[in-house]
Amino acid sequence: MDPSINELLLAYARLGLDHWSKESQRVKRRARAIRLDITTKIDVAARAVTRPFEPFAATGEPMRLIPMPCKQNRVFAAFFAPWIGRDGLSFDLVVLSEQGAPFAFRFEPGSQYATTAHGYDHVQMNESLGQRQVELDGAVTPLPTRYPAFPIPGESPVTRFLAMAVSMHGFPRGVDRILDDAFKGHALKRKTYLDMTAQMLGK
Amino acid sequence: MRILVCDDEQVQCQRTMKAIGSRAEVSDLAGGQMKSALTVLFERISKALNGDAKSEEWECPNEFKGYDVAIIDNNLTALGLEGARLTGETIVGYLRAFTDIPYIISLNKNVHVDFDIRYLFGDYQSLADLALNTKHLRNDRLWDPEFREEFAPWYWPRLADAAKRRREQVRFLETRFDEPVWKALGFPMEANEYLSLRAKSPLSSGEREPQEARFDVFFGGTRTLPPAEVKTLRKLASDGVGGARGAMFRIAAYELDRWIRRDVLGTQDVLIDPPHLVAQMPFLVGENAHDIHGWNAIVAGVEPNFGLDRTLFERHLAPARFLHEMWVPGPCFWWPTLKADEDLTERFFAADGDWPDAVFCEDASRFVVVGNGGEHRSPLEFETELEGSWGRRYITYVDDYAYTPRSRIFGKAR
Repeated sequence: MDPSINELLLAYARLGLDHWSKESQRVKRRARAIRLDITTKIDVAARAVTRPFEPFAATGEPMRLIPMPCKQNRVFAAFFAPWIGRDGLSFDLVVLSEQGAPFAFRFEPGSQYATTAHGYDHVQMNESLGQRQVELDGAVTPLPTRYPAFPIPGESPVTRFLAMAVSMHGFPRGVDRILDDAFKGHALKRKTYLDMTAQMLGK
Repeated sequence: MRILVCDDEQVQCQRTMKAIGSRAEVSDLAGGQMKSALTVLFERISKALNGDAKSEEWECPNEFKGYDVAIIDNNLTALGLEGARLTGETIVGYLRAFTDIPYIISLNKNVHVDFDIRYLFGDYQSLADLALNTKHLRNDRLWDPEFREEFAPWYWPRLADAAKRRREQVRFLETRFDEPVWKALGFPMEANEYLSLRAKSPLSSGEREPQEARFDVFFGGTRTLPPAEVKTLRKLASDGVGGARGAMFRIAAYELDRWIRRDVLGTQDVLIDPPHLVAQMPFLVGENAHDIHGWNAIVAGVEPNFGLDRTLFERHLAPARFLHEMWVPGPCFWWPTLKADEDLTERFFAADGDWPDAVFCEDASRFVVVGNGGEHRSPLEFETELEGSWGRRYITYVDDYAYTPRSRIFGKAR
């Protein structure tokens, strides 16, 4: 079975939206305070996935953050947004702590341009979203946004997304459980993405 | 199996009997005969609830005696009984409480629904055990364990089993009514995390922990009779009136069965049946795991190991088996126990994944391959209203049957 980034993102987004719908008003108020444009409907999330934000396109969808089904130690809430840059599909990750500033990270494909040293899939810190087009209120600035640029194993949108998911859920007893819920009753799909995750992590 | 068909119109009654055919021994109670039988029944009920009935007057009237299933047409307006116009739904609760017919079907309550997308339950608003339309009675899924029907909802019971199980359920409650539900049914402690808020609601009286709730909560919370009548029945039962105790057990059995079907087993998060288990862990099929016929053999499995790999069954599934099978339509297992089984998790990780790309279709009671490579259309995904982690399921979408609400079927929402 061939993996599909859209299918994976949509299945994950559904879990995130379900999680967010049950989230407390305290968390939602915190998200509103830093003026995040959070998707709460699956059809909007589906648009954000199938037609991602394109900072360099003249028209198109605005950047919207999709809730992640995630609550970890000191992580109040987390969101992600797919967007298309010069080198392909990137993912912005926004992590919200209870009191402090929001933290943003970019999971980005390796650059095709010889002039940059970022020729590998990597993750780096961010002080804004997209290609700096979307401000992140309350973010710590200035941040060293070019380095460190941690390498991500793999070179596909699917592994890039799985790397982001592993960073927030862990593995095992993390992403594997998320995949279980995302592809309930469809064993081969679940197994396909699970094997990709394990392979990516050298497990 | 003996079935009583009740209808205000003889012609419609005959139609229903014809649809059943020779699959059961069928009697009719139609028109004036039904009116007379109900008049006698209601007189007895009035006396019983007023505390004036002698013990023999609590017994099931002869017209309703000795049947396994009653099929009640929902439209009873032609009966001509005085007072509010009668529907099947208004008398179901009384038939349950004051007759000994174990299983009651509401017929043609909603002729525009063949498959319930919402709760995989049938008509969740019906007070009967099952809501069907006349054409469904011709479907072998209800009668024959080796059915060949294309349209075969997994949530339909086999009627002969359903009636037998209800009698066993009532016997179970006769001896264990005062025990905590949790303990009597053998819920593992981990199940607390897996039960939805909705599932916990009947157990949450505010007076004690859900694990301590007794079976009485299902009788007390019934919607099948008006609250004042429930209160009277409870009082008479506690005074030792045998007929009232019988009514209490029958009503509690119905409510508990309903709760298990929709909120405990229906979600497949607490109890899980073999096809849904295989959809999660295909390696349990053993050497036939690569073959969809091996998967479908599970659906028809009636004896342990139900078509599952014998070694895995004995080592992992048998200890997690739900033991009180009168409460479920087939073999079931405690999912929290299986989910916590590290060895099963490891086996999924380690499996070669040489499995068919198949999903279990709830409207056909079989696994169907995804994609357009086979003889069947690719299954459609839909979103139920079940509260749990497995809200999305699949259907084959058989032509000429109404699946509602359509808005919940992906690709059919127009």
